[in-house]
Amino acid sequence: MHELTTYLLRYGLAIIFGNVFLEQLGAPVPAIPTLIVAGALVQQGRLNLWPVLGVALLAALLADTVWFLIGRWQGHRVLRTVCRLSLSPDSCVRGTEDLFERAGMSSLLYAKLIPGYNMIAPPLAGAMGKTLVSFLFWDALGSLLWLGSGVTLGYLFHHAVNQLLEHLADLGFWAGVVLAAGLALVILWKWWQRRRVTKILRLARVSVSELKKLMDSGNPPQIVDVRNRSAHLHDPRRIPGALKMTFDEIDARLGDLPRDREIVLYCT
Amino acid sequence: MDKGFTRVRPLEGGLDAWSDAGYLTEDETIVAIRRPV
Repeated sequence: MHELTTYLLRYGLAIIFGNVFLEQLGAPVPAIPTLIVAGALVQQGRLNLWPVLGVALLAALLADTVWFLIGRWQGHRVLRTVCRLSLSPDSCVRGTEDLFERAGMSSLLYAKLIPGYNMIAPPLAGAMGKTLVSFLFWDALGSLLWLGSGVTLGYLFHHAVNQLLEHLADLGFWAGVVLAAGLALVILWKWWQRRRVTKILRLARVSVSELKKLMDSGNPPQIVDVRNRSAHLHDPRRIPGALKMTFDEIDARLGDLPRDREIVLYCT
Repeated sequence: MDKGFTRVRPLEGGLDAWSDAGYLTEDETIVAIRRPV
């Protein structure tokens, strides 16, 4: 127990900073467990609350600002890159754009609590031309809410956290092996799940080369551009002949779509 | 979307994948100006 606690106390702030920074950059290293342990140590008076929250907030803001600036530089294209990490890139881009369009910058308040939106919100704010000051304000509030909830959990459940730390300390060197193996299993599980769903989605989609062949054939498909309003504002291009229609309009405009031809939709 | 339609499929990669492959796109604002109302 003592060795592990000493280690956590000596390097605690650096670990918290590194963990939060890497997670916010997109690395698969969840920071919540670290924040929970930090909360338990704060409860025991072994760590001070304000430095813990301060370094964690600094790390989150730094990483988020990197994504915000990339979003401003690369525009909407960065969303596709970020969403490639998710299970369904198209729905990821559409869903996050819709949410941001509806809620605006205030969605940064709870962005970190929604899996997926956490990663996409900062570059999306940059791509939509929001100011850095406004972004930092809302992102700081949202980050504090997220960081504070992790630390509060650790504070409230400090007995359970201490027991876990004791068990890990008893394992000595093997504690590191157990933690590393656990992290590797989480990454492996996410990778396998993503690969499986991507394979299913790919089977149900049409590739660009196949679409070109269909367009050049005697019976071309009807292409429908179902991107949302902000996507149209930022990128007014469309595939030649595409019919513009938002998702909300589809039911009302079913009569505009041919029933004797294949329909190809794109939403990003 | 399966209400009597032949087949409905989403385009893999969307508009970016289409233009990245070098295929032509049209600008909807220019098209709107050229087409008579």
